[in-house]
Amino acid sequence: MRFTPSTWFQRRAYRGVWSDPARKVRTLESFAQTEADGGNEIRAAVSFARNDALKGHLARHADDEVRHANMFTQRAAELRAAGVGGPVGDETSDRAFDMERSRGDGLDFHGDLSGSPIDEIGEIPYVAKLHVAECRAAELFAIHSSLLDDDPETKKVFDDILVDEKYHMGYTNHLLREWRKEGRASEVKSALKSARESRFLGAWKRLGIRSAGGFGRVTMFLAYYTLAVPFALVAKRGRLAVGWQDPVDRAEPDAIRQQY
Amino acid sequence: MKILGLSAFHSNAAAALVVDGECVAAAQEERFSRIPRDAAFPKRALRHVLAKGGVEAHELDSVVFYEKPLRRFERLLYNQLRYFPAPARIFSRTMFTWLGDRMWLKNRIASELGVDPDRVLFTSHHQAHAAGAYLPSPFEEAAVLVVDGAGERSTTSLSRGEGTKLELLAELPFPHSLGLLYSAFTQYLGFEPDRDEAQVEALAAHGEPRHDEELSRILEVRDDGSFSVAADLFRFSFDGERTFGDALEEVFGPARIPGAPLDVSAAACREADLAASLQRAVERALLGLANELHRRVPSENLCVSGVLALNRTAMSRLHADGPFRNLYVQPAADDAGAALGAALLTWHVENGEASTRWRRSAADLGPELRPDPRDEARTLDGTDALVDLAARTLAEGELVGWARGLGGFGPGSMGGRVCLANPVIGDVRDKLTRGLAPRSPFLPLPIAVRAESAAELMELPEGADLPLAFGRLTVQATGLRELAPAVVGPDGSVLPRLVHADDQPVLHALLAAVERAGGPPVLVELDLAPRGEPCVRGEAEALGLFDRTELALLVVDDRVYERAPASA
Repeated sequence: MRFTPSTWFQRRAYRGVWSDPARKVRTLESFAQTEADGGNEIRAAVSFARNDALKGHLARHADDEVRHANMFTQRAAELRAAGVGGPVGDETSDRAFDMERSRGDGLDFHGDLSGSPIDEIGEIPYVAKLHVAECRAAELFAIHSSLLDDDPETKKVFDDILVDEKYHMGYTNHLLREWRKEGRASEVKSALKSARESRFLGAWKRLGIRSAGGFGRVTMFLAYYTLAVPFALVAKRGRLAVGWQDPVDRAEPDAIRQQY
Repeated sequence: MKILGLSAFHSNAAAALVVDGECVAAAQEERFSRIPRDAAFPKRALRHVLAKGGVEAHELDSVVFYEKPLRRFERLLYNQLRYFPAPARIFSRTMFTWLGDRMWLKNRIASELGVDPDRVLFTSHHQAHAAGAYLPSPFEEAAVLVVDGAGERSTTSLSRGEGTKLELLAELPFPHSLGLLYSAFTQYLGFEPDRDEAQVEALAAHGEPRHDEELSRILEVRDDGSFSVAADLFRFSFDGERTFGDALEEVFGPARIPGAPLDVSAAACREADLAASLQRAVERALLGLANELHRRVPSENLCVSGVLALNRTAMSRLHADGPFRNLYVQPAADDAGAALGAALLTWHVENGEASTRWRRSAADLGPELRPDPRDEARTLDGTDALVDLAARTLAEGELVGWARGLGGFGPGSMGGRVCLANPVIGDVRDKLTRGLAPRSPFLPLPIAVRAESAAELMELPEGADLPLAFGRLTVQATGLRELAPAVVGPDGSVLPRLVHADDQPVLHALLAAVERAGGPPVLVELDLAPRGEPCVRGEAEALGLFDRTELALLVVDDRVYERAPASA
């Protein structure tokens, strides 16, 4: 792996993810989902691809993604079965969690294909997007692997997947080169530029979500010890209801339209 | 009229599509995301049910969510203030989530689906559960009992169903909850709450209820059927991660560390004894509820839903010792079934008494298998040949993967995605542990039984045909004790699912073939699921499992995959 200032920062950021067992499991599960979704999208793209070589590559790529999803899922399930992870389905399973899943605890930069089907954007932009995504994924997976020396089973999952990622980078690069040779260099250049820019904007968006999350939580924490105190004192004086209660909904014919 | 019912954010998110009163599709998010009991917004499940029903989102007349979000928010806020300052960290997270998203659920649902926000409706949590239990049931009138973890403010409710009408009669308030109590003990006993309750139920069969006295103080049942839980021993009022308090450890000693060895064969296993006491206390409370419900609704029929309805031992006790003659248990008794209930209830509310009721039969819901055949797949000449091959494989003591028809809606696949094994040949438990996945030694092995022969093998209760067809009851073994002791629990109980020829003709034929071969028409039926995951969704996942395990034969719809003989 090539170390740059960027990888140094990323290693520091991701160390926290892999050293926290619960985040590790959730991250593996989010990777599994991204890979499975990516596999489905790519499989759908096979039928729309006109270029036979591209069709073949995409079919293999889709199989790889599904296999990767299974590998991540299996590893996460093994960890969960060993008592690592914490409960699924508590209050964290909400949009904040959804947002985290779509960014995989800040790790998930792989994918981003669902909004750009091949039949809408065309083959060159689609392959350019794939190429950029795969390069980024390979870079990240190498970082993750380097942080997992204490967990050889999970490390092996990343190492095995990296072999396939190299093929994915290779075939997309080869196709882009072929198109350049066919005189479509400007199209390829513009598609790659646009794919990289959309990733850059995505990174800003994720950073925004993350900052807002942190800021919001700190604000709420402070509010709990200041603004909420008088209300807490009142609430503490209330008595918990016991025994049968009349249902709130009984006499409201239009209740189904209300959120309260 | 097209109505989409949704449940999400607590456990087992799901989507159900009702078209002109008929449920045309229902699916749980976990089957697509592969995360067990996935609670996230069911994007994939709703996409699936819309596609299956041939409905575009903009064509929906209503989208109905299974609870009132603002009412739940009020309860959460109140409890986090009431227990000040303990929930400080949890408060910041919960408020961020609620203020940033869940308060605006109506708009979120509308934007996810691209529908007008005015079409987004909300039933109450217990209405949705009660509707999910009563409306698809075979009864024209019934008493309805919902015993859940927690809804908006209530945990337990009594209702009356008559024709297409459903009337909520009374509720028990939070935090007095049998579901939360059971989950908290599940965590205390070293299992995962909201997932491993079946392990505690199974553990109970191995113990003696030596802690009845302590449990009766923790769960106090009153003469009017209501009950209260000693809330000071638990943290579930404000904390979803650690649900029991230090005070509980002062009563029963330190909690079991997850994964610590558990010797249920020991003369006195503390965990098994505690599980037995808990199970008995919960059953006692359920009987109290049933008696009160019968006093208010003197019907012969009872419909049950809510997480406690997943407890098969408790449901059997309720049917055997309770005042109702006939029983219907919603098989997807947790929040998944509430998505269906919300949609059906909306149909009847919007259409009044003229609306017709849809009745659920076994194995009629869930996602289809996604085909992805490999080259080595073999298609046999008709189902007879398929049944014959599977029966021969099972007779050799081998495991058979069986993925046919729909994937089921609720826990497990109801025979649609299962690993089958012959319980009378060899050590079937050992074979399953080695060949499929490790399994707690005290967990019973569920079985599929040919419906016509079941009465000769076990004591079948009357008035519970559908719960038996859904596999939602335990029964006492009779003839099966000698024929297949491996599937009989220490208390003589078995977990049967009665297979009818109308519902699952090929599996029924397979059971008949097993009987013709000389054994009882019984097969062990475990979910065809990779370890820790939900049932397989597609052929590729089933084949992945086939590659990694010792399944000798995999049946996928009409295709079969046979394991190549090992080279000498």
